Amino acid sequence: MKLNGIPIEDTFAEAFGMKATRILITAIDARWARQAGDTMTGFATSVIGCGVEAGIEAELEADATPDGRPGISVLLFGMSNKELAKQLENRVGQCVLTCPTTAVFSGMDGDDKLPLGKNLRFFGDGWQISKQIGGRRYWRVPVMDGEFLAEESTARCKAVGGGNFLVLAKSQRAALTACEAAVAAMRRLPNVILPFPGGVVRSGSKVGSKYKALMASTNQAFCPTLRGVTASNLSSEVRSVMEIVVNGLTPEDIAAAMRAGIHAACAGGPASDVVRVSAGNYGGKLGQFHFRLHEVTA
Amino acid sequence: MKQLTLTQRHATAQRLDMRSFLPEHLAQLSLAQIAELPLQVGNQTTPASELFELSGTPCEDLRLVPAADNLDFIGAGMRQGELTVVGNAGDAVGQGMRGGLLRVEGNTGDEAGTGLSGGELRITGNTGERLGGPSVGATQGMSGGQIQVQGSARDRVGERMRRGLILIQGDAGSWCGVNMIAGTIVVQGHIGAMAGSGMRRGTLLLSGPPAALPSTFSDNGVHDLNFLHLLFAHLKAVTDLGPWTAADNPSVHRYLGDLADAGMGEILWPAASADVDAPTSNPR
Repeated sequence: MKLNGIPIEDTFAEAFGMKATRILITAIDARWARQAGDTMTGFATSVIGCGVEAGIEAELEADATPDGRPGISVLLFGMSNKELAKQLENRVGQCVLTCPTTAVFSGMDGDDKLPLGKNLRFFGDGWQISKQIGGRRYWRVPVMDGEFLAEESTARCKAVGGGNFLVLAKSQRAALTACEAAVAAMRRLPNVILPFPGGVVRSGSKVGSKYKALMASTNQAFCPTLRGVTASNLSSEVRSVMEIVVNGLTPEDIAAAMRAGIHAACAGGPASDVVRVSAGNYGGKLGQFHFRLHEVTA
Repeated sequence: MKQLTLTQRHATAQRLDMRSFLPEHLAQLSLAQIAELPLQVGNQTTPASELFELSGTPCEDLRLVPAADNLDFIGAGMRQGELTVVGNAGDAVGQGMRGGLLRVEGNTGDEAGTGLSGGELRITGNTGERLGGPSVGATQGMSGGQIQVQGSARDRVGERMRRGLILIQGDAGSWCGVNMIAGTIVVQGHIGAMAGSGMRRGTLLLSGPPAALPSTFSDNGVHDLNFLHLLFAHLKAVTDLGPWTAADNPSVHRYLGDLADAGMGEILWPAASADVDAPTSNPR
């Protein structure tokens, strides 16, 4: 199968079940809302070392937020409810509470709750105020720039993490340019985030390592500098491989994002020096969700 | 649409206790059973059918048409359904209400919504004293839900209120929010003396500066309070916000008190409105 003359490998991306939540952050203007989001999702690329995978889902106009100010929505994905709750509280406490003019609200409804302002309120040292408005509970915490407003809790849901595809190209610049186009297309879609830097990961991993302490290590089959000494998946013309990882609230969201991303990455055709599109397939060892490239791009 | 209507045949000299005529109870009964429900009139017990004309079908949408304003405890303890009073209600309408919607298309007596913990009470006319306060003998007033009065309320609105929202589109009498524990009271008209006296926590939101405040409230300046956006968005659905220019400028004067108690109660009014002198203090 080819897209604009670029071969799409007959393989599948292997993803796994996660727990997710969404919060909304507003601020005095869009810049400061994004600043809070960037800060709280900055060190949130992989659960391997960050505890949670997170990213900004969308920018919100003032009329789409609870307090009528510009904002963003952030999605956070964890491997367990406990870890997700811990990371949410730490990140909102350290990165949003501290960020000038921000407020934080639930971005998801449901019966399964995660504390949001519920514990952060104690920063108010007794001066905090509870307000129930329209059946929802909020906390007003006095801070030096006024009041930090935080909704009591948000909801969580089951989700999917680790949807991915690989762009194989003749140069780093060619791989990156194709990935940038893919990221731009994927970020327009709801319910997904691309947790890695700029949406792109250059250190795609395999499950396990020769070192017992490591649960993941470099994926030598896709390392161009090891082409001659490993069971390489790369042809001789490939000099750079980059991966886009996508987490979504449902498998359908991931499939839609992969489809948009792969189409965008292949838009330049062979002239863009993209050689092939593949995916992180771990032989079924990693997760129960399999996204076949031929099916999602069809 | 199914509805059950009880129309009072004639006014009685004695007050009637209507607390057993709740939508959720009557929906379980036949018209014949409802007609036999006992009502106490003075020292006599009378079947409901002698005092009320019944029409419609028993369901959780109940309409009550009083012939006088001495029907007390209408909707008291109500948990669900809708009850509409077409006319004036007596005392303690919606007392101890836990859910559902209770509308009074007229005025009410005293103690409306006392001890209310859920649901919504809407009064199109005026109401008497102790709106949303504690039921007789109780230590706390309203603890949830919402009360809307389109007219005015007399003294002691929200006394010892703990949670919930009271909206008064007209004026409120003296001692509004007295000994308030928490919750929110919004008064769009004028407010009487000693507002917020004894307040521990909670919010008293006014449309303009009060003529006087207890001397135990202190000025905390003018502030933009983000939560007001949420409150205004909620209130916009039921009232014209008038002097509040909600989304544009929620700057408010913030007075905190009562410093003779916990001192965390706040009295707010728009900074734009009559930004003149600080209110004078009431003597204590």
